[in-house]
Amino acid sequence: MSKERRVGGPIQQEPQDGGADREGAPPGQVPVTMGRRNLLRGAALGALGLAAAGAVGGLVDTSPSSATTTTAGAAKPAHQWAMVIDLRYCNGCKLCTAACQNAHFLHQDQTWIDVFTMQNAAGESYAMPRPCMMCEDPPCVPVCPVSANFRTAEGLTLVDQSRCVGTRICMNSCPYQARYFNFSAPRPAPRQPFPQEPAWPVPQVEGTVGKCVFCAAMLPSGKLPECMANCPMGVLYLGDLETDVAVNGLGNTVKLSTFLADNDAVKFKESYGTHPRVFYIQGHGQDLEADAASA
Amino acid sequence: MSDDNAGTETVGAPGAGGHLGEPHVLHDVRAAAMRPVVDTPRWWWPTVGVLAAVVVLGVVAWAVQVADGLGVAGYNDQGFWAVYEADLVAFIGVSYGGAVVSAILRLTKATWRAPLTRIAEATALVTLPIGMLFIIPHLGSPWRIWELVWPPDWNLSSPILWDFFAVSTYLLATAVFFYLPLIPDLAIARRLLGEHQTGLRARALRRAYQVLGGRWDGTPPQRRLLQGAIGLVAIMIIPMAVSVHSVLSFAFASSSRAGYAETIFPVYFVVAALYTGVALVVISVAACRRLWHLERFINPRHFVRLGLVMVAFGAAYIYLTFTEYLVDGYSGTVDSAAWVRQVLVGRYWIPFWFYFVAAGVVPLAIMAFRRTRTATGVVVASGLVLVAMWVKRLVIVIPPATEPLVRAPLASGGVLTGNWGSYHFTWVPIAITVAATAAIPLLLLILFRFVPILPIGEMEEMELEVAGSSMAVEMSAVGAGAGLAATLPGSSFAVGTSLHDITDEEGSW
Amino acid sequence: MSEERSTIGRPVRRPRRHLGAKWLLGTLPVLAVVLGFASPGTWAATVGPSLRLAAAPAPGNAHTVDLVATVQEPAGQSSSALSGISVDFEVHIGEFTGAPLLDLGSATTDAAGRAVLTYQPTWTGDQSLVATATDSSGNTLASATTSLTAAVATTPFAGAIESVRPDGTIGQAVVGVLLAIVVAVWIALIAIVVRVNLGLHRPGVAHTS
Repeated sequence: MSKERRVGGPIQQEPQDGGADREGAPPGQVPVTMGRRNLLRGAALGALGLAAAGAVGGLVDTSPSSATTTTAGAAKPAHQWAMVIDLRYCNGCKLCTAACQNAHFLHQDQTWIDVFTMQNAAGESYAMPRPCMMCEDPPCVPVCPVSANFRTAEGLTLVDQSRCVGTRICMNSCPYQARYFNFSAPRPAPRQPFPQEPAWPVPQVEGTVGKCVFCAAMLPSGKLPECMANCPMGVLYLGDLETDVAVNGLGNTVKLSTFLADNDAVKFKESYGTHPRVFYIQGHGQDLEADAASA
Repeated sequence: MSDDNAGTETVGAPGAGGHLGEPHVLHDVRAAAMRPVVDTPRWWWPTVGVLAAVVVLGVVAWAVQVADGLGVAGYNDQGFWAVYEADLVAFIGVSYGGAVVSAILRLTKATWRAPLTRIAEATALVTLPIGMLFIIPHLGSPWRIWELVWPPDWNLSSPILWDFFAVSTYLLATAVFFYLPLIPDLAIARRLLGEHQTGLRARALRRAYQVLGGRWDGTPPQRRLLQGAIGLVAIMIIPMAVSVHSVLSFAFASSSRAGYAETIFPVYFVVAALYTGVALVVISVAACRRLWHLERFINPRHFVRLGLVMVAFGAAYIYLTFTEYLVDGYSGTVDSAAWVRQVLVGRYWIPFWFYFVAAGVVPLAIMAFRRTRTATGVVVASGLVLVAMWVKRLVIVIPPATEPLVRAPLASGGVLTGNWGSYHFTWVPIAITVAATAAIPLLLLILFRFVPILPIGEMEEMELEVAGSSMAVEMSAVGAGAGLAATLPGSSFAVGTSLHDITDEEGSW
Repeated sequence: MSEERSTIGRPVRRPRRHLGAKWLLGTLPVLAVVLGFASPGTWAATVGPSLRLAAAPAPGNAHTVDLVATVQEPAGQSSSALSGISVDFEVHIGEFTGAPLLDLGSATTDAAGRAVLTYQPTWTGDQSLVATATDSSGNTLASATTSLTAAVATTPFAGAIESVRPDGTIGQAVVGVLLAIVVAVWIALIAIVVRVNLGLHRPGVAHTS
């Protein structure tokens, strides 16, 4: 019961703010909400040099049954966050790690997103960023004796550091080595734009476990997580399984399902049954030329 | 009267005649059992002082850790479990000696156990809370430990929560199992105190004995009632002891980590606990025997038998170790093979092979040869087992925690590029471990200031039982091998069969 | 809501009066067509064809919509060049900073200048769509926008999976049984102690000596 209470805490409010945008108003109120929305959209179009004039919205489908089942908003979260990591473009610069550590005021060894050096079958090395996999069946959640780990409706696995007692059994159960404990006092952080909560665990709390949170507090306002925004190669995409869109820090926007299918995306350690929501597109620098030629 | 039983290992004892009334040997039991309560030897206060100082040092070390974080204990992200977790397992494990000696040997009706039961149960009673206390330095945020005992915060799918359930239940059972056989002794002790002591302490003790011991009078209905209760708890405590280390092992095994995710772990942990539990009983029995001159009641034969029980568990443990590493190494899975390689011939080879020699080969060898199969030999073997099995717990806990997990190539082949982590000992966990070790004798010394060190009622009962049988052999006497076997209905017990072979040879010393 | 929209990061340059016009038009019933115009810059530079973009429910499928882009030659030019023009369709997503347009795919115009792309919205609510006609060498001929409000959205991804771990279905029964055992053991142990103590104080049992 406490788990539900946690999930329904401050985290739950975020999807409501951001989600209202995405879901829009019920069909009957469409005209009211449309104008300002299209105004802003139009602003973006104008930036593209398009002289879009007025726009008239139309309902694609007004059948009541489907409308009620799919726009029920409260029941269905607006987003299911995911990440795509395009290894073809990763040069291992670790700017993502640095940006993450700067934003969350982490110690040097707390690499919430770490970049590992791997070797392929030909003996060539390539870089592989590893954030939290945001598993759909996260092994870290059921093992915590005090329910400090929980999964939000939008598919983010977060840690409640006001509850964690520091047994570190979640570090044991994570097959991705993605959890980092505060073995000493955390770096002091100035006043933050968000309260210290699971979605924005800054500053960290000594004696508790921390990990990548996909910068959950920033997502509702449309900002990309720090690692993605600061990746000069556009390797990291924020994906949304619900809207089937993925965006990287360079502004590249792709249709997520098509992007994954076209590039034979894989998940890390799929055999562990964790169902990660981080997708890897394999390959590395050597493939770039061929890729660029075909593109 | 306290001089009567000092420093004698005499074979054969007086009082084997009438068996009615109160033979001389029984009177000796009472005196010897009450000696720690009524006498304060010269060494008592200095010993307690030194041990308490060591414990305080451990508390100071823990305070430092609370102030500076778990990092001062050598912990890091690729070495997130280490000494405290090994300590937790090891200290709870040594409490199994009480269950073995008291419960298993009671159920198998091995009467020779009688003089050892109180010491064994007391050892279990003090080591179990010490082991449980290791949860405190283990936690990163110990100030929130109340969440573990606060039902609204429980997560019933967590192995750690079930550890808590299992260990606390076992603690209750251990306390009950210590208390029930104590009831007759408390009544006897109350009367004995009345005979000899008149001081304030004696009066307070008598009052306490009165409250706890009730109006025990040794009448047949009372005996039946108590024996029934003890038998029931003895049966209950064995599956509970098994559950404790099984659930402890789940905290490790319920993961996907090579070296932790072992189906053999529950059995492995239970056997290790039994192994070290008997070893600690040997050590504490030897210490009590020496300190309080119990040589008349506890003789080398007891040690040899305990030693045989111990190495039986030790052999089982070696077997389980062999199967664990063989299967994991043979499978050749990347993670498992790397872990096995690191343990056997890699960076962890020294502690592993130390365990293998000190807790595997040497105790077996000591018990195998007649020359070394002595009380001293058993005590040496037990000491080795305790140290080496603690090291083995480190070998269990640390290597899988330090194994790199992000190294498997995504889909295609490739070589391993992950780096092994490491745990570095610091003075903090060592101080806390030493303090916990010192707390065992400290608590035993204090405990035996209040309760009889020998189970008077049980020993007298055994005495009468044995005396009533046609092949009577004094409990305190080192009888001939044939007589011993006859008094050992427990020879059906796994070790008992081998006792037949051994006992014939025992006449030589 | 609009404050968050501003994080799209683009300056709001549209004249205010369009707002009112759109509100009016937005009240039109079920199916409304959006008219878009090529940008003046593009228009002036190429003096090429213009483009109209319309969204219409796809026949037979309530979940999809046909995006119809129609190329129209400027007055006085022949319409022979209407076919074979590639039209790229994009949808504006306001969700992420600096990433406004998502490529939906492209279609080629037929003889009537119509290029049709079937679009299946993956999120509900208002959506702005952009069609861009390009010639064979990749030069932009014309662009047009429309918008629609989707009441139905489908995602190609399956819903969240059921956990296979112990807090799932069967695990709850196991946990219940185990808890019951623990409670039973506690009760039994305490009962044993109580029973022994009571028994010792029973008059008929105690103090016979």
